[in-house]
Amino acid sequence: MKKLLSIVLAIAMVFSLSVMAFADELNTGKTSGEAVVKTSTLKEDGHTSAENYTVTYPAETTIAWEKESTDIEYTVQAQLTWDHQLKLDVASADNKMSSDNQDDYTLDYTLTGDTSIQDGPVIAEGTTKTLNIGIPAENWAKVPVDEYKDTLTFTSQLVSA
Amino acid sequence: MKKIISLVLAVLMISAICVPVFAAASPTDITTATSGTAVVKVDESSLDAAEWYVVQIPADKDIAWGTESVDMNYKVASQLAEGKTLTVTVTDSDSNKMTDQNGGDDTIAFTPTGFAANTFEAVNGVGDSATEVTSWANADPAVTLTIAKEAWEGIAVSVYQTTLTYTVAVA
Repeated sequence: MKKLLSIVLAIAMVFSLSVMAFADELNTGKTSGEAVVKTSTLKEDGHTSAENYTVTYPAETTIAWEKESTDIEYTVQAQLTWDHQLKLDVASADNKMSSDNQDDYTLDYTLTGDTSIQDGPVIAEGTTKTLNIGIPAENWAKVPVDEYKDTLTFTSQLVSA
Repeated sequence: MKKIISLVLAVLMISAICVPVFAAASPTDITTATSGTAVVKVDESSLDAAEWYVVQIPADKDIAWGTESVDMNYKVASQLAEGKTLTVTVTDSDSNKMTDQNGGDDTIAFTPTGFAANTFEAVNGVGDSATEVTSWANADPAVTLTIAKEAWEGIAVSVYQTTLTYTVAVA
């Protein structure tokens, strides 16, 4: 049994050796042949897609009291398959900043600029997009001095080109 | 029974003894001379048919996204007449670029090595014939495609392809 097992293992080891596969032979009857080199869309591990994208945005932006216009920049990079694009939406639930100290007053604002983009399959690294927070003077005047805040949600998805 | 078998085997053994037969092409009787000569030579008309060569080229190859070096080497075995040489040349289908098979304009450039005409001597490797090769000579420099890391960036993820053609000439 041991001898049989050792023979089986030896055969298995030989078959496991990585040997370059030769497909064709040229000889007096055939003096030229072709070999095609083709890329996969998967990485070397064989199952991870080569598609990738990154959206980088500030975790927090502080706005000075009574500042009427504030830009927020974010960057986008994407390398997708030929039939995909990156769709990115930025939104607030209600465009109102609220206070943790009281519920009676909210600071209304507008969110404009690159709030919705769709591009690809390639978006160059370092591509910058800009959002704008607009708070008119009259809105500042309506609320007590306090810390007001709101959350912007960035939502990304891959869509067909 | 054993005696019968041993008898049969002895008869077979005696029958199998080979005795060389000597004969002169033009029979020469050795009478007054004490020696004669017989010339044995290879039939020159058979030389061309005896020549052979085999060049093994690689199979089609799929490479992972991001691969920076691709081995596309070939190997040679040959037995040609003295003074003859065997030359192998490799070319690609699109000026050292892989093109997008999904119709995009992006390409992946590569730097080839070993494409230029590589000349081998008359005898390479070991073998009795084109179908009985036991040892090969590898091309030197080896055929490789080198793809810079940057070539994989800034292009759509797709299937890019090139076709290499291997051509043999004997002179």
